[in-house]
Amino acid sequence: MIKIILTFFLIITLFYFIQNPSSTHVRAWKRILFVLFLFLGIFSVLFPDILNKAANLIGIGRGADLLLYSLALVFFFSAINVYLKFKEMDLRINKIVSELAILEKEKKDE
Amino acid sequence: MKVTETAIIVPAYNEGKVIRKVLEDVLEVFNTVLCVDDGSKDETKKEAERTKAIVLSHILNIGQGGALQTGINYALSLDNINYFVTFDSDGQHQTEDAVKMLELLKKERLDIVIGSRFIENSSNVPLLKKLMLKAATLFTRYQTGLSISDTHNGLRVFNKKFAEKINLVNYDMAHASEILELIKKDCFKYREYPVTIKYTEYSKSKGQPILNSINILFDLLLNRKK
Repeated sequence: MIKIILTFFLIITLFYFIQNPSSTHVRAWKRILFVLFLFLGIFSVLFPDILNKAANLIGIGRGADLLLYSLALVFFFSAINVYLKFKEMDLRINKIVSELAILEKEKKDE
Repeated sequence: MKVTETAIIVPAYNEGKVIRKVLEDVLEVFNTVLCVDDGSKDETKKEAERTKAIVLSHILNIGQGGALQTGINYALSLDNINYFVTFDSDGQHQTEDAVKMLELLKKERLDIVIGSRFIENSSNVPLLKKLMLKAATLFTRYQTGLSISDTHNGLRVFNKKFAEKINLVNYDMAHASEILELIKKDCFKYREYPVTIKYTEYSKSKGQPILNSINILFDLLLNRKK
């Protein structure tokens, strides 16, 4: 049951993230979650049983499985983030190329 | 008597073989012809400059939408330009169609007239291309809510009011859908007009590869809310 809720929640987050990848809101949350993830990593190394306890809470067998799923998720989000970042950069470059063409023409005409 | 007050924008990418003929044909009818070389790797720019057309050149290839936007922005900076035409550089479009569409626009006081290959069976569209276009049309129809029969036709005529509102985000082939969305969003008065597309061996070999539809779809879905 919790799995369904979590999946649903994740999908909503994904859509929101894709729509506004560079809004201040999303950027802040990306950073918060990243730091959180780091801390969770540190804790699970120091207290290895945490992972198992958390896993059982959600309904997953082992802590290692939870780690695997989390890793898969983080990777997935990172990949999308990189893609979106590149698309944004593309847009910026394209605008410059367009402006430049007009400026060159106006300069030639002088 | 040439057509005045109108800028006809011809975006071109690697059309060195035909661009001169295309531009000269258009120049016989239109006063102000703007060729935008989208970072071509061949003699497109040189060939275009041999004509009386105004030639702008991108240093990098950014896409047909980008070339159109450059053309539109430049045309808007010129004096006495109140009408705009977008026209393909591969020789598929007919100048007479552009003239008729402009007349229709003025007569009916429309904001934009879009060429269509699918009204009155006006062209010989190769079958596979036809199917692909139908699919694209249905998708764009769903997306924009407009019932347009040919959603990816490069022959358009529009007025200054419309030109000023064009601010493309998609510089690749998805720009066509973006223009339609603009019509829907700001409730511009539009009409379709049957046009003839000349599918020569040359132009057929340069058409949109069907696989590119995947790329366009992807970009559209991700870029919708910018």
